[in-house]
Amino acid sequence: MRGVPGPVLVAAAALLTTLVAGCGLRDGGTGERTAPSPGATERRTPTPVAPARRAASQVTPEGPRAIRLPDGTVLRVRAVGTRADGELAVPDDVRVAGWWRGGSRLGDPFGATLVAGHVDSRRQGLGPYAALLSATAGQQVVLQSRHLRQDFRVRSLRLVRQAPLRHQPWIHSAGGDRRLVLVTCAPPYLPSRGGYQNLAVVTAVPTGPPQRRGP
Amino acid sequence: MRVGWFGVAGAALVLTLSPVSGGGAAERAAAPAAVSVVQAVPGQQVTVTVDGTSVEGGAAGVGDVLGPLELTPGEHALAFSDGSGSVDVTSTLEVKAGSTSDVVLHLPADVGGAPVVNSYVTPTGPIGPGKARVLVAHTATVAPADVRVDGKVVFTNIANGEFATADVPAGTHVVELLPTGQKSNPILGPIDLRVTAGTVSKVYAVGNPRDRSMQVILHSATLRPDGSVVPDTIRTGSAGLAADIPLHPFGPH
Repeated sequence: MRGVPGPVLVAAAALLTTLVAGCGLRDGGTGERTAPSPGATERRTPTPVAPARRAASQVTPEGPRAIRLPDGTVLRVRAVGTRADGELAVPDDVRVAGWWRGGSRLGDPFGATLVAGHVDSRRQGLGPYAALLSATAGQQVVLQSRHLRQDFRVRSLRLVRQAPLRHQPWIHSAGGDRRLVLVTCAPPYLPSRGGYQNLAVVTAVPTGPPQRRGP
Repeated sequence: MRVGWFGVAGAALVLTLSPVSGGGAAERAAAPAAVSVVQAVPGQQVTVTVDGTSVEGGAAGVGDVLGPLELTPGEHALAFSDGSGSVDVTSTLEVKAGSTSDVVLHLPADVGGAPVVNSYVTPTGPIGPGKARVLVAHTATVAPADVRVDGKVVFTNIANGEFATADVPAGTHVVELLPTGQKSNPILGPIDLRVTAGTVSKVYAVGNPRDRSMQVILHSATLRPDGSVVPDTIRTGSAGLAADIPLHPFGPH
């Protein structure tokens, strides 16, 4: 396909020849001018290269800052990383959820937005994430970021044994359909074996694209 | 199906344009800008000059990527010429210290329009694990387009001279360009786009679907990782207070 001018391009080239003849600074402005064509009276000045425009339809992706759980509870969401031992650094406060900052954001076209929260703590008791153990299909979850809001609908609740998550890419990976993945701990609780033995994983799928939040 | 691909090696040509005067202390302190020149006008062999010096590599055919050129921050004179007058564009380019960008000579949306030049700043922000960044630019002789990736419309209504970017999972994706709002009869593709984790791929859609000259120019660069590590465990409970809550799993993964 390299270098095949169609008839249209040939016509375009002919047209261009008449349009630009006589108005060219050549060789970077060394002064060589081509013969002026009739009607071309002005020497063209160089125009600044225009920066290409970002398409207006595109939203800039943003990490979540707040989540509204199916029961209406709104929690702050903090961006968190992974500790040296591989554990997700979920905030200790049961009223603050942790979004894994390496994952997908509102506005990304694919992948998981992983938002985890503590089911309980000795100091605070049961937390709002405990309600996820009773999640049902179709319930609404809302994510908010600085400028965006996106609605999701619960698609599944899975019980996953405490085991290395590298074998469960659907929970955290950048691949696959866009989804919100909510994780908290789930029974059974065996103190002699480290406490909660399972993770409850709620997957919710977007009901539409992210919307810009009102002023 | 793969159609109309140019294998473009990013580092084919390196030309350093130093200031004639040698530059002052301030200029030496400022990091140069890295500018690649993309020739996206089908059927033309174009000579590119920067500040009066021809860029090495001779006349560039469609799909050729010249550079990256190291330019001092500030204004530079650019000229594109095919020697016959069919392509004769002179421009000034303002570059910022340490920036990375592509300067693209391409045709406008209207058939028969004179070549135009746009610059695309490379989105060089750090990126998460397993992801690749894609910049799709509309530099073709065609009306606004949607971009479908793996069957999902990812970008809508991109006009000539516009672009959109997204972070996508690394791997091979099926990419199609469709007239905005349409679900079939792609203008370009489907093509296989293979993207590597930790890179940015700038994809320039070029040509004219009416004469079947649509093709893609691909120009890639490496990004810094954002430092994120995939978590291997999640421990989100310690008190045993949820031990007796009944749980009824449902639904697929």
